[in-house]
Amino acid sequence: MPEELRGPAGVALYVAVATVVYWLVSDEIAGTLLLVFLFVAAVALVLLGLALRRPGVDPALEIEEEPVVTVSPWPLLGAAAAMLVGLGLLYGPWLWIPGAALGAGSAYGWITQTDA
Amino acid sequence: MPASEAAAVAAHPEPRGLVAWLTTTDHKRIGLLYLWSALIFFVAGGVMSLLMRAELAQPGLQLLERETYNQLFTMHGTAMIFFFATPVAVGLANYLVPLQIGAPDVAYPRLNALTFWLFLAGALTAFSGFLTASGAAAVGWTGYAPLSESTYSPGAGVDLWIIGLLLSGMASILGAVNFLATIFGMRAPGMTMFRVPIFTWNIVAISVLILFSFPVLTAALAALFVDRNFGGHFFDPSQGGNPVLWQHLFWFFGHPEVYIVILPFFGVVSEIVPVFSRKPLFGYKGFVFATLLITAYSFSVWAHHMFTTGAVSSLFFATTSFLIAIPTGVKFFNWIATMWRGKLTFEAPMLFCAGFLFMFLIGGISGVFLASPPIDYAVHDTYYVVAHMHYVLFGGTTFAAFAALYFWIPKFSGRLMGEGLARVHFVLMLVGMNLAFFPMHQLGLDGMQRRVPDYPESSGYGDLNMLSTVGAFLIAVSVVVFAVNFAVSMRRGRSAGGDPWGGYSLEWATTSPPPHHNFESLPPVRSERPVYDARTGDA
Repeated sequence: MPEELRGPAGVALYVAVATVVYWLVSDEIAGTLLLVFLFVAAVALVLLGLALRRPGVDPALEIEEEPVVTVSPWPLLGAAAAMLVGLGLLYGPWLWIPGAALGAGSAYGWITQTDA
Repeated sequence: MPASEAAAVAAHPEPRGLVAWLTTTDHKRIGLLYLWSALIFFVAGGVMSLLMRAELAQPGLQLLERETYNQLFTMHGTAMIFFFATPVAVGLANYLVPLQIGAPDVAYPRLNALTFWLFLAGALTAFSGFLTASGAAAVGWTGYAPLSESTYSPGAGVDLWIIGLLLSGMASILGAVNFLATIFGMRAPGMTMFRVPIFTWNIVAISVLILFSFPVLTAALAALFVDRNFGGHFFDPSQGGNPVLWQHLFWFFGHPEVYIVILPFFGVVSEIVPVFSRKPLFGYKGFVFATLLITAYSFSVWAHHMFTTGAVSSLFFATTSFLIAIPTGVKFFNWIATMWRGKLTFEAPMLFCAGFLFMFLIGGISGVFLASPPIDYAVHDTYYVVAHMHYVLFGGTTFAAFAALYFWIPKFSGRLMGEGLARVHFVLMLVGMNLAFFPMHQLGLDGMQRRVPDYPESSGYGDLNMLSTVGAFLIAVSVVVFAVNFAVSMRRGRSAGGDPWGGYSLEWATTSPPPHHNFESLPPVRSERPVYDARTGDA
């Protein structure tokens, strides 16, 4: 196993044991489910890591490197869009309109930006 | 990023001005933005604590109304945990991880910028509650239901707190992905995982912790928001909900969060102690495995915060909580063994590391007591718990954070900090913190409840509270001394050169501050101390 994946694999192994022990000593459903969630998440991370390292892997799964950009306004505008959408949940959906517009503009600018 | 592209970018001059900072994707600038923001929130949280301590200095209500006090302790905890301790570590990681692994930047520079702006948007959103008619959230940083439900906490403050934490939590998750991709995919030739500096190893550990714990917090906050605004009943017992479920979800995130906060500072101490002991870190691999063990164990201890609910297995959580002291003890052993028979010198970074060891040890020992259910039942929700968490989180993170700043500010700025004022800062902070927090142990054992703005004169709590307040103001004075030292040193400090301390890891192989894409050339990496190897001719 690649050394990068030993950490999540160790978490999965430990949590598998802890889940069984916890269920047996407590018979308590909420905590047991949380541990099961953690086990599934850790195993999923390990499997994803193994899939990305396998020879002949689907190129779509490979991590693409970003183009070299030294400045970009899109992260700042994207965060502002996320804040507007979040505040729209509280103050009314009308905030989603500028939030969505800013978010869409940021996403488009982000994707199409190739250089500073 | 291919080396040819990095070289092409390195040839371009670094953009200057406000717009350049607002649009930067350079990991070093983003790291500095995180650090400055974290320090501002540290000051904001600190001012709130001074107001609370001033109120508690004497029995009776002198300065604050009860509701204001509730808002202050809520936002103090939120600021210190979410907007100071976590981002100061993330800021250090942003600046240092690419340098330590010999990379020109992080894997996804624009995603990195997005995480900073999301974090800042979240922090400002949470704090904006102070501007609303009903004030900021007043439910404690733990936000326990049903107190945090709209029935008991109406108004926008809690909602803004929830939205703020959701935004900053999203930033943490994206940042964790970026750090893992960077550390796993962009290491310099020769840098195997077991040659990666310990600080960077700890960033791997907290990234895993964030990936597994923050989604749970996100889910819990979303459910609470639905309860408050859309008629949900997840945590409202009067409608069939279960408030203990909130505690499960919150602490399933909350206890790993303690390690998310503290592990990077274990890494900081592990970088500094060997340099000032003139020895390699004792038991490098043992240290890494102890870190991984803490990572795994930290997911199975959350309900020691919930012993008094009676709804969890005390046996299980007491056992796992005692267990986690073992890898932490291994780390203490490694630090002491590293110093043993070393050629120790006590410049400011090492002094603050010594302070960290002292403070964290006290906090760790009181934590072992709290892991015992009978003791926890006796002191739950008293000032004993406040003392414990401040020794661990404030004593641990703040001393190590200042150690890190004194150690790496010369790298960030090219100038050394003044040693004389640093020593004054250290003494004032050490005395202040122990005056502020040690009496809280006794107050807790005497029965003083946490989160109360007042206490009866007949309780006898007055003297210890006054002592604690004096300590808090001493800490504030020490921070002012640091600020003066920083301002003076940045104007008139001695030039640091590339490697002022005789450092070991790759950030000391480049100029101070580093050029835009970090390195003109890299020394060969054949151990976990490549710069030491190059300096002594071992490479």
